[in-house]
Amino acid sequence: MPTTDDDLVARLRGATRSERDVVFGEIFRTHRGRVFGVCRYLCGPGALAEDALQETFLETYKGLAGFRGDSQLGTWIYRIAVRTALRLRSRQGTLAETPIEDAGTTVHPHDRLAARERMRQVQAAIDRLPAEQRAVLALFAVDGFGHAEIAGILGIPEGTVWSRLHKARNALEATLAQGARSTPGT
Amino acid sequence: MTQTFDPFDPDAWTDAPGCEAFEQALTMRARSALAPHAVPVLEAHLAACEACRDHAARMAGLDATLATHRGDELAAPGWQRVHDQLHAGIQRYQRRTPWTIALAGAVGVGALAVLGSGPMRVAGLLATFAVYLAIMGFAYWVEQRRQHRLLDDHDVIATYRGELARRLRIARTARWLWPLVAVGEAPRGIGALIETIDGNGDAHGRLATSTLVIALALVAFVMTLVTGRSARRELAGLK
Repeated sequence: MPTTDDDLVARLRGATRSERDVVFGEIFRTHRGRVFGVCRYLCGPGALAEDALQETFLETYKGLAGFRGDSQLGTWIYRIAVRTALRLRSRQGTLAETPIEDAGTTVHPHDRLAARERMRQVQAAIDRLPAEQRAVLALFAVDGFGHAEIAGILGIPEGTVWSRLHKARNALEATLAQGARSTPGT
Repeated sequence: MTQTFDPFDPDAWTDAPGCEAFEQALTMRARSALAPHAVPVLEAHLAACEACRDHAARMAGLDATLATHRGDELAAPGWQRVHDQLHAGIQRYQRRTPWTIALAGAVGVGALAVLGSGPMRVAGLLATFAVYLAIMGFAYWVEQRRQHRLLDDHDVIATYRGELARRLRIARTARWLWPLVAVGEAPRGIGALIETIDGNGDAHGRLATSTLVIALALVAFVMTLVTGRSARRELAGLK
């Protein structure tokens, strides 16, 4: 049976440092995939997302000694992730050009180039959104988050979650449509 | 996923004039979060409203694009490498406290060698050491406070934005303080330098102290500029 956050929090209470380290290892294994998903969406593909992932878990480790379970463990970790990813992304300035992983498929170089260009356009469009909308979009893009959970992570009402998602999608669609009109053939 | 949120409840949205509520309902339907009783209301509106049908088609296109984007997004990194780097980062963090105290001790011994060993100088040195530890303690407290604030139920991004704005305000105010400290200390340092050149051995300690104060003020000035610049950049990145 998979370990739940409640189990992990219960084991953290009164734990020694070595016991805490063991629990931290389980926290890392449980949440790393979704934290990375959030970081990649907010930072774009590349090394920055991995930096954000590592910094998120380092911050989690630092705060674990003071974590009393008043808040949900997962909620807290994803709050750290959103904040860390936004911070690193805003410090970096312009988007870094990163290679797209070649999955070993026999895709025609022209198609691969077009896919790469399209992906760059999408990432640039996401990047132009206000942080509030980017965060909602990122959390919705990662599997398993419901709107109530996203509201809890961001500390906003559920109605605001839907409203921000709606605005983000509208803005994204408008930007991408404008990009497609200005570069026909891509 | 729970289906308790009603998009057609006038109190549910902060701003939803005209077709906006139906467009937002489309977003919810795409995520299987539209309340069952709201589905026929949406369908009836779509049948009658061409603008909303256009919107639905455009959003379907966007979802297709985002799905492609997301597929690449979720390509996982090498977890063992990430784990090893994280482990190294944690070890560096754990070593930080002893190293910080050792560094403070080394600076103290070095300062003692420069300033001499008179009772007042030793007292001054201990006071400097105490101030250093107080600054380190304050930095630790700020870090812990920031962590604990993330446990509270508040708007994470608005709070972050507020923190950055406050940091920028403090940096803008404080950047004038450090040059004033340096300029204020300069006459004493110059006086001590002249006395030292004239052969007054007692002025040696005063010269060292003034040099230290001016150097620290300049370092603080640069750090304040860097902090302000970083806060401004982060604020701009949040938009």
